[in-house]
Amino acid sequence: MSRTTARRVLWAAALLLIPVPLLALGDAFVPTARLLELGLVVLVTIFVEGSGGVAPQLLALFFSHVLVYAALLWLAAGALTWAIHRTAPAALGTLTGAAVLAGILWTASVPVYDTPFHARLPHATLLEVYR
Amino acid sequence: MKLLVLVLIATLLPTTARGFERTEEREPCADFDPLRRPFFGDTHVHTALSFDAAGQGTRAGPRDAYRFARGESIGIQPYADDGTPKQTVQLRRPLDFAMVSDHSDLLGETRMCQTPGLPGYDSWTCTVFRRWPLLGYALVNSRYGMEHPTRMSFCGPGGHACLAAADAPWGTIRAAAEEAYDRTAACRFTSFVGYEWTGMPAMANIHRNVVFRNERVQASPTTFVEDPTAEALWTRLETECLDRNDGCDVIAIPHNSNVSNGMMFRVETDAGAPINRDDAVRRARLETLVEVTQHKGDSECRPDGLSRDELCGYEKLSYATLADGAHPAGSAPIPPRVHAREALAEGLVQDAKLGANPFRFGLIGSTDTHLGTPGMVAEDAFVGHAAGQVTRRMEVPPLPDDPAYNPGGLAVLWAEENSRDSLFEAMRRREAYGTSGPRIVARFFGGWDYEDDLCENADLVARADAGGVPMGGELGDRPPGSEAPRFVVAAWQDVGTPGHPGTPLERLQVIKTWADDSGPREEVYDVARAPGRAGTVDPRTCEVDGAGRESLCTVWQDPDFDPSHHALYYVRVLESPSCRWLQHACNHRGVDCEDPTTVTDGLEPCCDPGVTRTLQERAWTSPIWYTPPG
Repeated sequence: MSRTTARRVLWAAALLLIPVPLLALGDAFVPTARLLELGLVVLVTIFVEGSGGVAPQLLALFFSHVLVYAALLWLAAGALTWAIHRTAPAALGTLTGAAVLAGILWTASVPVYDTPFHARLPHATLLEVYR
Repeated sequence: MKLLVLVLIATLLPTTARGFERTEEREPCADFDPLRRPFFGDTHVHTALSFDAAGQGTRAGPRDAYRFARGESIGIQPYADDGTPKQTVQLRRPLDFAMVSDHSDLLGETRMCQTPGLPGYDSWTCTVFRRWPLLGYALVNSRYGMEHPTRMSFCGPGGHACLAAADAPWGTIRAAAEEAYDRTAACRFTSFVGYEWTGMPAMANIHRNVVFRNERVQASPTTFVEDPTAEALWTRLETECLDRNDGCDVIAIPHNSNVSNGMMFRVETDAGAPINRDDAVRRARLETLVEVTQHKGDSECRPDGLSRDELCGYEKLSYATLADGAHPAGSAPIPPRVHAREALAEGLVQDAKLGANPFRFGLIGSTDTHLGTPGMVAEDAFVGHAAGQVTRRMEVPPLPDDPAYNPGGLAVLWAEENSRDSLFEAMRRREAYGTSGPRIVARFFGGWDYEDDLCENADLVARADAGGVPMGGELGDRPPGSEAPRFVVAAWQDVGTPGHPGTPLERLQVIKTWADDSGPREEVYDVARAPGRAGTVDPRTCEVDGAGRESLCTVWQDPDFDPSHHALYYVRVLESPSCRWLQHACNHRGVDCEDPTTVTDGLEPCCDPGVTRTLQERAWTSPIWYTPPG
């Protein structure tokens, strides 16, 4: 696996798995991908219903978070890739896969997410947060 | 046959014999008191039919709410996957009356979004609401808080689909009220048909609860989207109820003027002109009461008001509109005339100018529960009301509510019997008062020649009633020889329930406002106080020390009376200090602020030095007015 591929894999996994805080709306820790999903929901709502009420503010809130976290996680994925490659260049693919697998196992078994907009459980695991 | 005869007898009895006019068919109450008794209730109750309540997981409907009011237990959210509620609640003693007041706005949308097969169910917005209820709530509710709100697109042209869909829940509300109403001579419980008109221009709260006297009501409730001003609401109430001349009767009760951003008690018409005498008469006729306290704060008076009344700090929100609640520090300054006392004083100024007082209203309390739990006001058993903000109700929360909110209060009506006509007429003549929750009994009479020792008299109430007017009334002309009005002020503490005794009373205050050449003025008088030391409460245990009196009574004369000034007087009854709901909740959860391990996730407000831990529960009577001759 190339360093570029490894970085992209780690970045994608981070976007999908790592809980990040949603500022200004109380306690919320959700994956960046979830914030993107919510932003898209608000965007479609604006197309359907117009921009009345708090929709524009929510849209700005979600997408600004997505942009910032996507950039930070891209940098973090690059740093991790660099560290793995420097430590064990031959095992880059294996260790990248292991890191992603560990992240999946962790988030699937522990309710690390806290999502105030969910219809069911605010404290959720990976399987629940995307249900 | 017996029932028919009783109804006929009751109908034929002259109004003066019963004290009120009977407008419905029912048995007369066996328990009838011409000197009137206090009936405790709640006129501000939301159920699953309200969009915001449904968005927070509420499933209790109007019938559940009335069962709860009558003393039965009901389940509330969160619910397990099989639909079993994870919490059960029950009042320690039933209410005498209640009114389900679901939001008329979004009544149809709520049903459409939750009923497969109805138009709109598969719309994008309804799908969002079902999948992310709180996001849906934020998106939809804020739309209806715009200056000029419009219906959602799935409501179709003119919003007709949503308005038509509201017929069924409106029918449910009416049917539930009818089923809960005890028309037998036992008169155990009274329900009123009503709704909340949820006016919120630019997020300023100008909400009104509409209360119908009997089963003759509007064909459909008035909505803010279609009738976006208070004047438009009044016009609807007049044309669709009062002018029908078929016994339909109605009042509207404003609430949460504290977050109205100055819009609740305006002295301008919709067109921007100063109100005239007709406007004032119209408002005073339709709005005889104001809800002075409830879940989202107290609206009695401002701490930095004219008299610097230090007891005005009770349950105050620190922002001008609910939209500012998320960031109170950034709130616009709270403008003038958002509190009841300010409006009452302005009413005197207007009365002097117009010859009619637009703000001639009495005071009540209620809860504004969004869980379908009327009268759930106990500080030590508060499970939240889920109103006014996006809170998470999908699991049992660490703390039941926003620390700035409170369990709300009760409406108390002095009536001859527990029937709709008797209670409604108490609301109409303002012989009503509010409490912050406890069932304090308060009486207040005004006259010109009460004897000093009247409180020692066994027939105190009969003599006070015969010699003057009760709360909500108007002092008559000053008789020759009388220097100043005299008032009988009496209160009895809440007797409590087994295991939960009431708290003794600390003092009685008379609040006077008047208007002179410089404008409105106010003064607070301590007129009776429990002898001995002041009561205290230990926040760690919430044990009260018992100081105070079971009852207080005095005859008080205004020492500063000027017969040329319009004036009004109302009473504030204060209990000894006790624990606020947050302190009870924190103690129940084992929080010790000196041991950080006990301050678990979500319990941080327990140790926030800025949060109030104790309070003085209270009651506010309706005023008695004085109008100078000429």
